[in-house]
Amino acid sequence: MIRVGMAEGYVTANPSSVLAALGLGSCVAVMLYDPVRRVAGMAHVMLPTSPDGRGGTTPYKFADTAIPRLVEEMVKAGAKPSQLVAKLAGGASMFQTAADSPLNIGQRNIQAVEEELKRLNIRVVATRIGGNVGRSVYFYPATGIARVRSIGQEEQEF
Amino acid sequence: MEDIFESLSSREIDILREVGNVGAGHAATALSRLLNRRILMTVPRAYVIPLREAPELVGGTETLVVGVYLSVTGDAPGHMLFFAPWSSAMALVEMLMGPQEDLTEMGRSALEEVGNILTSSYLTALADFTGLLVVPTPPLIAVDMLGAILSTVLIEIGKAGDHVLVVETEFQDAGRALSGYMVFIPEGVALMTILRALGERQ
Repeated sequence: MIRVGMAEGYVTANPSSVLAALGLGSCVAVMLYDPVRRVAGMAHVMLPTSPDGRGGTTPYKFADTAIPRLVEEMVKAGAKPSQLVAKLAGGASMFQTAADSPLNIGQRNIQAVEEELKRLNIRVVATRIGGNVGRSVYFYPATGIARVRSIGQEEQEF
Repeated sequence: MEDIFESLSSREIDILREVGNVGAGHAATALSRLLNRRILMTVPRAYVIPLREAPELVGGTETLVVGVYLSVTGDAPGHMLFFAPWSSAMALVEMLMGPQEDLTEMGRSALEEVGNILTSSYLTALADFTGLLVVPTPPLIAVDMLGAILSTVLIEIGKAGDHVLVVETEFQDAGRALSGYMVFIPEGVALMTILRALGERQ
Protein backbone atom coordinates (compact mmCIF):
# COMPACT_ATOMS: atom_id res chain seq x y z
CA MET A 1 0.00 0.00 0.00
CA ILE A 2 1.29 3.41 -0.95
CA ARG A 3 0.21 5.95 1.59
CA VAL A 4 -0.34 9.35 0.00
CA GLY A 5 0.10 11.89 2.81
CA MET A 6 -1.14 15.45 2.98
CA ALA A 7 0.14 17.60 0.13
CA GLU A 8 1.55 14.53 -1.62
CA GLY A 9 0.74 13.02 -4.98
CA TYR A 10 1.52 9.61 -6.46
CA VAL A 11 1.14 7.98 -9.86
CA THR A 12 1.43 4.28 -10.61
CA ALA A 13 0.70 1.79 -13.36
CA ASN A 14 1.47 -1.18 -11.16
CA PRO A 15 -1.71 -3.27 -11.01
CA SER A 16 -0.82 -4.85 -7.68
CA SER A 17 -0.36 -1.60 -5.80
CA VAL A 18 -2.95 0.35 -3.81
CA LEU A 19 -2.99 4.10 -3.31
CA ALA A 20 -4.37 5.20 0.06
CA ALA A 21 -5.24 8.46 1.78
CA LEU A 22 -6.05 7.86 5.44
CA GLY A 23 -8.08 10.00 7.79
CA LEU A 24 -9.31 12.59 5.32
CA GLY A 25 -11.16 15.44 6.98
CA SER A 26 -11.49 18.63 5.00
CA CYS A 27 -8.77 17.40 2.60
CA VAL A 28 -9.81 15.98 -0.76
CA ALA A 29 -8.30 12.89 -2.36
CA VAL A 30 -8.37 13.42 -6.13
CA MET A 31 -8.09 10.10 -7.97
CA LEU A 32 -7.48 10.11 -11.71
CA TYR A 33 -7.59 7.03 -13.89
CA ASP A 34 -6.88 6.09 -17.46
CA PRO A 35 -8.99 2.93 -17.88
CA VAL A 36 -7.32 1.91 -21.14
CA ARG A 37 -3.71 2.12 -20.02
CA ARG A 38 -4.56 1.44 -16.38
CA VAL A 39 -2.58 4.32 -14.98
CA ALA A 40 -3.78 5.65 -11.64
CA GLY A 41 -2.91 8.77 -9.72
CA MET A 42 -3.88 10.25 -6.39
CA ALA A 43 -3.36 13.75 -5.00
CA HIS A 44 -4.06 14.59 -1.34
CA VAL A 45 -5.22 18.20 -1.63
CA MET A 46 -5.31 20.42 1.47
CA LEU A 47 -6.32 23.87 0.20
CA PRO A 48 -8.25 25.38 -2.74
CA THR A 49 -5.72 27.70 -4.33
CA SER A 50 -1.99 28.29 -4.18
CA PRO A 51 -0.97 31.81 -3.16
CA ASP A 52 1.23 32.37 -6.23
CA GLY A 53 -0.71 30.18 -8.66
CA ARG A 54 2.29 27.88 -9.09
CA GLY A 55 2.30 25.84 -5.90
CA GLY A 56 6.00 26.37 -5.15
CA THR A 57 7.62 23.26 -3.69
CA THR A 58 4.28 21.67 -2.77
CA PRO A 59 2.11 21.65 -5.89
CA TYR A 60 -0.03 18.79 -4.54
CA LYS A 61 -1.11 20.89 -1.58
CA PHE A 62 -3.44 23.10 -3.64
CA ALA A 63 -6.33 22.10 -5.89
CA ASP A 64 -5.37 24.51 -8.68
CA THR A 65 -1.80 23.22 -8.95
CA ALA A 66 -2.24 19.60 -7.80
CA ILE A 67 -4.47 18.51 -10.65
CA PRO A 68 -2.37 19.84 -13.57
CA ARG A 69 0.70 18.33 -11.93
CA LEU A 70 -1.01 14.98 -11.43
CA VAL A 71 -2.12 14.94 -15.07
CA GLU A 72 1.44 15.74 -16.16
CA GLU A 73 2.86 12.86 -14.11
CA MET A 74 0.20 10.50 -15.42
CA VAL A 75 1.04 11.40 -19.01
CA LYS A 76 4.69 10.62 -18.25
CA ALA A 77 3.53 7.22 -16.97
CA GLY A 78 1.70 6.56 -20.26
CA ALA A 79 -1.79 7.92 -19.64
CA LYS A 80 -3.71 9.88 -22.27
CA PRO A 81 -5.23 13.13 -20.97
CA SER A 82 -8.43 12.71 -22.99
CA GLN A 83 -9.04 9.30 -21.38
CA LEU A 84 -8.81 10.45 -17.79
CA VAL A 85 -11.75 10.18 -15.40
CA ALA A 86 -11.87 11.36 -11.82
CA LYS A 87 -13.16 10.11 -8.47
CA LEU A 88 -13.21 12.29 -5.40
CA ALA A 89 -13.35 11.62 -1.66
CA GLY A 90 -13.18 13.85 1.42
CA GLY A 91 -13.96 17.54 1.77
CA ALA A 92 -15.91 17.05 4.98
CA SER A 93 -16.78 19.68 7.52
CA MET A 94 -15.53 18.07 10.72
CA PHE A 95 -16.96 20.59 13.12
CA GLN A 96 -20.52 21.88 13.08
CA THR A 97 -20.08 25.54 12.26
CA ALA A 98 -21.76 28.31 10.33
CA ALA A 99 -21.59 27.97 6.55
CA ASP A 100 -19.39 31.06 6.18
CA SER A 101 -16.92 29.91 8.86
CA PRO A 102 -13.33 29.44 7.75
CA LEU A 103 -13.75 25.99 9.30
CA ASN A 104 -15.80 25.05 6.24
CA ILE A 105 -12.73 24.67 4.09
CA GLY A 106 -13.84 21.20 2.96
CA GLN A 107 -16.58 22.71 0.85
CA ARG A 108 -14.19 25.21 -0.71
CA ASN A 109 -11.72 22.43 -1.47
CA ILE A 110 -14.39 20.43 -3.29
CA GLN A 111 -15.45 23.46 -5.30
CA ALA A 112 -11.88 24.27 -6.33
CA VAL A 113 -11.18 20.65 -7.31
CA GLU A 114 -14.36 20.44 -9.40
CA GLU A 115 -13.59 23.72 -11.16
CA GLU A 116 -10.07 22.63 -12.03
CA LEU A 117 -11.27 19.27 -13.34
CA LYS A 118 -13.88 21.02 -15.47
CA ARG A 119 -11.26 23.37 -16.84
CA LEU A 120 -9.16 20.37 -17.88
CA ASN A 121 -12.20 18.52 -19.30
CA ILE A 122 -11.85 15.64 -16.88
CA ARG A 123 -15.14 13.98 -16.07
CA VAL A 124 -15.99 13.20 -12.45
CA VAL A 125 -17.50 9.70 -12.41
CA ALA A 126 -18.01 9.09 -8.68
CA THR A 127 -17.69 10.92 -5.39
CA ARG A 128 -17.89 10.40 -1.64
CA ILE A 129 -17.61 13.99 -0.53
CA GLY A 130 -18.93 16.56 1.94
CA GLY A 131 -20.93 15.75 5.07
CA ASN A 132 -19.24 15.70 8.43
CA VAL A 133 -17.46 12.36 8.52
CA GLY A 134 -13.79 11.54 8.26
CA ARG A 135 -12.83 9.09 5.51
CA SER A 136 -10.05 6.75 4.50
CA VAL A 137 -9.92 5.97 0.80
CA TYR A 138 -8.15 3.25 -1.17
CA PHE A 139 -7.67 3.35 -4.94
CA TYR A 140 -6.87 0.26 -7.03
CA PRO A 141 -4.88 0.82 -10.26
CA ALA A 142 -5.82 -2.60 -11.63
CA THR A 143 -9.53 -1.72 -11.84
CA GLY A 144 -9.93 1.99 -11.11
CA ILE A 145 -12.22 1.05 -8.23
CA ALA A 146 -12.06 3.04 -5.01
CA ARG A 147 -13.14 1.96 -1.54
CA VAL A 148 -14.01 4.35 1.25
CA ARG A 149 -14.17 3.73 4.97
CA SER A 150 -15.75 5.87 7.71
CA ILE A 151 -16.21 5.20 11.39
CA GLY A 152 -19.47 3.43 12.15
CA GLN A 153 -20.25 2.76 8.48
CA GLU A 154 -19.70 -0.18 6.20
CA GLU A 155 -16.90 0.06 3.70
CA GLN A 156 -18.23 1.23 0.32
CA GLU A 157 -17.01 0.68 -3.19
CA PHE A 158 -17.38 3.50 -5.66
CA MET B 1 10.26 31.95 9.53
CA GLU B 2 12.05 29.97 12.21
CA ASP B 3 9.83 27.62 14.13
CA ILE B 4 10.27 28.68 17.75
CA PHE B 5 9.23 25.23 18.93
CA GLU B 6 12.46 23.84 17.59
CA SER B 7 14.46 26.22 19.76
CA LEU B 8 12.68 25.44 23.03
CA SER B 9 15.05 24.34 25.76
CA SER B 10 14.13 21.46 28.07
CA ARG B 11 13.85 24.03 30.87
CA GLU B 12 11.26 25.97 28.88
CA ILE B 13 9.31 22.81 28.15
CA ASP B 14 9.42 22.02 31.89
CA ILE B 15 7.97 25.42 32.67
CA LEU B 16 5.20 24.98 30.11
CA ARG B 17 4.50 21.54 31.60
CA GLU B 18 4.28 23.15 35.04
CA VAL B 19 1.73 25.61 33.67
CA GLY B 20 -0.10 22.54 32.38
CA ASN B 21 0.11 20.93 35.83
CA VAL B 22 -1.46 23.92 37.51
CA GLY B 23 -4.08 23.99 34.76
CA ALA B 24 -4.81 20.31 35.40
CA GLY B 25 -5.17 21.14 39.10
CA HIS B 26 -7.77 23.80 38.30
CA ALA B 27 -9.51 21.41 35.92
CA ALA B 28 -9.60 18.64 38.53
CA THR B 29 -11.21 21.01 41.03
CA ALA B 30 -13.81 22.12 38.48
CA LEU B 31 -14.52 18.53 37.39
CA SER B 32 -14.75 17.27 40.96
CA ARG B 33 -17.33 19.95 41.67
CA LEU B 34 -19.28 19.09 38.51
CA LEU B 35 -19.21 15.35 39.25
CA ASN B 36 -19.55 15.73 42.96
CA ARG B 37 -16.70 13.32 43.57
CA ARG B 38 -12.96 13.58 43.82
CA ILE B 39 -11.17 13.47 40.48
CA LEU B 40 -7.40 13.59 40.37
CA MET B 41 -5.61 14.94 37.35
CA THR B 42 -1.93 14.86 36.62
CA VAL B 43 0.31 15.89 33.77
CA PRO B 44 2.80 13.07 33.45
CA ARG B 45 4.49 14.45 30.35
CA ALA B 46 4.71 17.44 28.08
CA TYR B 47 6.60 17.49 24.84
CA VAL B 48 7.03 19.21 21.53
CA ILE B 49 6.40 17.10 18.45
CA PRO B 50 5.80 17.73 14.76
CA LEU B 51 2.04 17.96 14.31
CA ARG B 52 2.03 15.15 11.76
CA GLU B 53 3.26 12.72 14.46
CA ALA B 54 0.38 13.52 16.80
CA PRO B 55 -1.85 10.65 15.54
CA GLU B 56 0.71 8.16 16.79
CA LEU B 57 -0.06 9.26 20.37
CA VAL B 58 -3.31 7.32 20.30
CA GLY B 59 -2.49 4.55 17.88
CA GLY B 60 -2.77 6.13 14.46
CA THR B 61 -4.57 8.30 11.97
CA GLU B 62 -7.73 6.21 11.93
CA THR B 63 -8.18 5.91 15.69
CA LEU B 64 -11.59 7.01 16.91
CA VAL B 65 -11.30 9.97 19.23
CA VAL B 66 -13.35 12.74 20.68
CA GLY B 67 -11.83 16.11 19.86
CA VAL B 68 -12.70 19.49 21.31
CA TYR B 69 -11.33 22.47 19.46
CA LEU B 70 -11.30 26.12 20.35
CA SER B 71 -9.29 29.12 19.35
CA VAL B 72 -7.73 31.58 21.71
CA THR B 73 -7.76 35.32 21.22
CA GLY B 74 -6.15 38.09 23.24
CA ASP B 75 -2.45 38.70 23.96
CA ALA B 76 -1.32 35.20 22.98
CA PRO B 77 -3.55 34.02 20.15
CA GLY B 78 -3.53 30.39 19.21
CA HIS B 79 -5.53 27.20 19.12
CA MET B 80 -6.21 24.36 21.50
CA LEU B 81 -7.31 20.87 20.71
CA PHE B 82 -8.15 18.45 23.47
CA PHE B 83 -8.56 14.88 22.35
CA ALA B 84 -9.19 11.64 24.14
CA PRO B 85 -9.42 8.08 22.87
CA TRP B 86 -13.01 6.88 22.55
CA SER B 87 -12.79 4.60 25.62
CA SER B 88 -11.54 7.41 27.83
CA ALA B 89 -14.08 9.85 26.47
CA MET B 90 -16.95 7.42 27.08
CA ALA B 91 -15.68 6.75 30.61
CA LEU B 92 -15.74 10.50 31.22
CA VAL B 93 -19.32 10.69 29.99
CA GLU B 94 -20.26 7.76 32.25
CA MET B 95 -18.74 9.55 35.23
CA LEU B 96 -21.08 12.42 34.45
CA MET B 97 -24.21 10.60 33.39
CA GLY B 98 -23.99 6.99 34.52
CA PRO B 99 -23.66 3.93 32.25
CA GLN B 100 -24.06 4.65 28.52
CA GLU B 101 -24.40 2.44 25.49
CA ASP B 102 -23.39 4.99 22.93
CA LEU B 103 -22.65 8.68 22.68
CA THR B 104 -25.98 10.52 22.76
CA GLU B 105 -26.60 14.20 22.08
CA MET B 106 -26.60 14.72 25.84
CA GLY B 107 -23.31 12.85 26.18
CA ARG B 108 -21.88 14.89 23.37
CA SER B 109 -22.71 18.16 25.03
CA ALA B 110 -21.40 16.83 28.35
CA LEU B 111 -18.09 16.11 26.63
CA GLU B 112 -18.12 19.53 25.06
CA GLU B 113 -18.52 20.95 28.55
CA VAL B 114 -15.68 18.81 29.93
CA GLY B 115 -13.49 19.94 27.04
CA ASN B 116 -14.48 23.49 27.80
CA ILE B 117 -13.57 23.11 31.48
CA LEU B 118 -10.24 21.50 30.68
CA THR B 119 -9.14 23.97 28.05
CA SER B 120 -10.25 27.01 30.04
CA SER B 121 -8.49 25.67 33.15
CA TYR B 122 -5.24 25.50 31.21
CA LEU B 123 -5.82 28.96 29.84
CA THR B 124 -6.56 30.35 33.30
CA ALA B 125 -3.31 28.85 34.56
CA LEU B 126 -1.49 30.37 31.62
CA ALA B 127 -3.05 33.78 32.30
CA ASP B 128 -2.15 33.54 36.03
CA PHE B 129 1.47 32.67 35.29
CA THR B 130 1.99 35.24 32.58
CA GLY B 131 -0.40 38.06 33.35
CA LEU B 132 -1.48 37.89 29.69
CA LEU B 133 -5.06 38.21 28.58
CA VAL B 134 -6.26 35.02 26.90
CA VAL B 135 -9.85 34.59 25.78
CA PRO B 136 -11.21 31.26 24.49
CA THR B 137 -13.92 30.99 21.82
CA PRO B 138 -16.77 28.50 22.41
CA PRO B 139 -15.63 24.90 21.91
CA LEU B 140 -16.46 22.77 18.88
CA ILE B 141 -16.66 19.01 19.17
CA ALA B 142 -16.02 16.24 16.68
CA VAL B 143 -16.14 12.48 17.13
CA ASP B 144 -14.18 10.82 14.36
CA MET B 145 -10.79 9.60 13.13
CA LEU B 146 -8.02 11.55 14.78
CA GLY B 147 -6.31 12.18 11.46
CA ALA B 148 -9.45 13.75 10.00
CA ILE B 149 -9.91 16.04 13.01
CA LEU B 150 -6.24 17.01 13.34
CA SER B 151 -5.69 17.71 9.66
CA THR B 152 -8.82 19.85 9.52
CA VAL B 153 -7.71 21.94 12.50
CA LEU B 154 -4.22 22.21 11.06
CA ILE B 155 -5.54 23.46 7.74
CA GLU B 156 -7.95 25.96 9.26
CA ILE B 157 -5.17 27.56 11.19
CA GLY B 158 -2.83 27.32 8.23
CA LYS B 159 -0.17 29.75 9.22
CA ALA B 160 0.89 28.09 12.45
CA GLY B 161 4.17 26.21 12.59
CA ASP B 162 4.73 22.52 12.13
CA HIS B 163 5.36 21.79 15.78
CA VAL B 164 2.93 21.67 18.63
CA LEU B 165 3.12 21.47 22.40
CA VAL B 166 1.40 18.38 23.76
CA VAL B 167 0.41 18.23 27.41
CA GLU B 168 -0.54 14.71 28.36
CA THR B 169 -3.28 14.55 30.95
CA GLU B 170 -4.32 11.66 33.17
CA PHE B 171 -7.58 11.52 35.07
CA GLN B 172 -7.94 9.20 38.02
CA ASP B 173 -11.31 8.27 39.33
CA ALA B 174 -11.88 5.39 41.72
CA GLY B 175 -8.95 3.42 40.40
CA ARG B 176 -9.73 4.05 36.75
CA ALA B 177 -7.11 5.97 34.81
CA LEU B 178 -8.15 7.85 31.70
CA SER B 179 -5.92 9.67 29.31
CA GLY B 180 -6.33 12.77 27.24
CA TYR B 181 -4.08 15.07 25.28
CA MET B 182 -4.08 18.82 25.23
CA VAL B 183 -2.46 20.20 22.11
CA PHE B 184 -1.52 23.84 22.07
CA ILE B 185 -0.75 25.58 18.77
CA PRO B 186 0.24 29.21 19.27
CA GLU B 187 -0.12 31.59 16.37
CA GLY B 188 2.81 33.64 15.10
CA VAL B 189 4.78 35.15 17.95
CA ALA B 190 2.36 34.05 20.69
CA LEU B 191 4.73 31.43 22.09
CA MET B 192 7.51 34.03 22.28
CA THR B 193 5.09 36.40 24.04
CA ILE B 194 4.31 33.67 26.56
CA LEU B 195 7.97 32.83 27.18
CA ARG B 196 8.79 36.50 27.61
CA ALA B 197 5.96 36.95 30.07
CA LEU B 198 7.28 33.94 31.98
CA GLY B 199 10.65 35.71 32.16
CA GLU B 200 12.33 33.07 30.02
CA ARG B 201 13.19 35.14 26.97
CA GLN B 202 14.32 38.66 26.33
